[in-house]
Amino acid sequence: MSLVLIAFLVSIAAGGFGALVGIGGGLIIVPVLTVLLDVPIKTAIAASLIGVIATSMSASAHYLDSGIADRRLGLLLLLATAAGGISGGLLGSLIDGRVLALLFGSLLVFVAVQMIRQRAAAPAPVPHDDPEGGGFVSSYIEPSDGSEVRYRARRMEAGAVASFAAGNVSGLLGVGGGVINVPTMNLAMGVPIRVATTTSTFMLGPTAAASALLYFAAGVLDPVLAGPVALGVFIGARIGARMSSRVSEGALRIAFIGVALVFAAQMFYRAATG
Amino acid sequence: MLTGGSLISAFCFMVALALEVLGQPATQGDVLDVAAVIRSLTVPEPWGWATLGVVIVIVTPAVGLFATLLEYRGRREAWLALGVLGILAASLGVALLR
Repeated sequence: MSLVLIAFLVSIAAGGFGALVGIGGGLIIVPVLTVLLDVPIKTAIAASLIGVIATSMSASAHYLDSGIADRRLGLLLLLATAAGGISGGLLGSLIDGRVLALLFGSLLVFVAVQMIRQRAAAPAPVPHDDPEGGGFVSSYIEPSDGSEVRYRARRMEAGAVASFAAGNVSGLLGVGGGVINVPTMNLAMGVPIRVATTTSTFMLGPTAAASALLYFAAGVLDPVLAGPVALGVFIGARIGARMSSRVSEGALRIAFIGVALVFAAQMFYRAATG
Repeated sequence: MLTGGSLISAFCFMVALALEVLGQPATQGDVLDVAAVIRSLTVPEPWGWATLGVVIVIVTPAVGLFATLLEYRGRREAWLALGVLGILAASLGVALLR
């Protein structure tokens, strides 16, 4: 069986698992391609970025049409995230693959720790009439009951700094950046979690496109590998999303933490041995 | 716009994968050589179709932003979309200059 076909099949599994756990496919795809299929890490990162864009494109169309994703907030933060994507992509194409493996392993550990510490309930959004003010007021229609939820998105400066960091992580490591964007919007900026996740999904596409361009022009992005990977992640994410209600969230979280730590160890090993 | 880009690129990737499975020549080329890509599309070869799909994936977010620019003409969102498009254009410039 060709490497491309194997990559396609494992991408379906990775995309599905990522969707079930609620994280982007990139966090799974890059170590799977690198550790299991021995793909050079920069090629894996570039392929993952195409998967991130493809998944973001299909999901954000729905989120924007439904009005849940905050287009204005997303575009504002995109100014920082996309710029970060360029610098991350430049860095990623320049620095040694072993350093990237070390950074990716560290990211996996970070995400695993966040999952272990994850709060049972997200903090309440900042009320739109909060006297502290700042930022801007927005709203969305809660799909479960049709009520209008108004909120105030504030601390734009903190959001911009975190978004720039998220863009760098995305361009450097081939992940979506949602691992930084979502908690930033929700915890620091007072945005409801549903808006934070959908707006982050909207932001992922242009951010990853900014860095994917750099890998593409540099010849690091292998289209023959990237295409099936993107297709597989896309299909897997759809399947995972449909199955999510049937699988225990706790079991998934434990499974992801285990997988993430195993892959992190493999990445650290690669960083150490080359 | 975004959904259309997803579907078209997915089609290109499916064609590339099918050609790979069917054992079509696994040639590669310079992705910036448009003539080579077109030639590979017509043979057909997996590389050409995969490259076309990748180009569509990368370009679609920019097309979506351009659509936002037109839809929200005169409003703040249009200026923001223009700003992001400027950043993507800068990325393209950096990519071509390297």
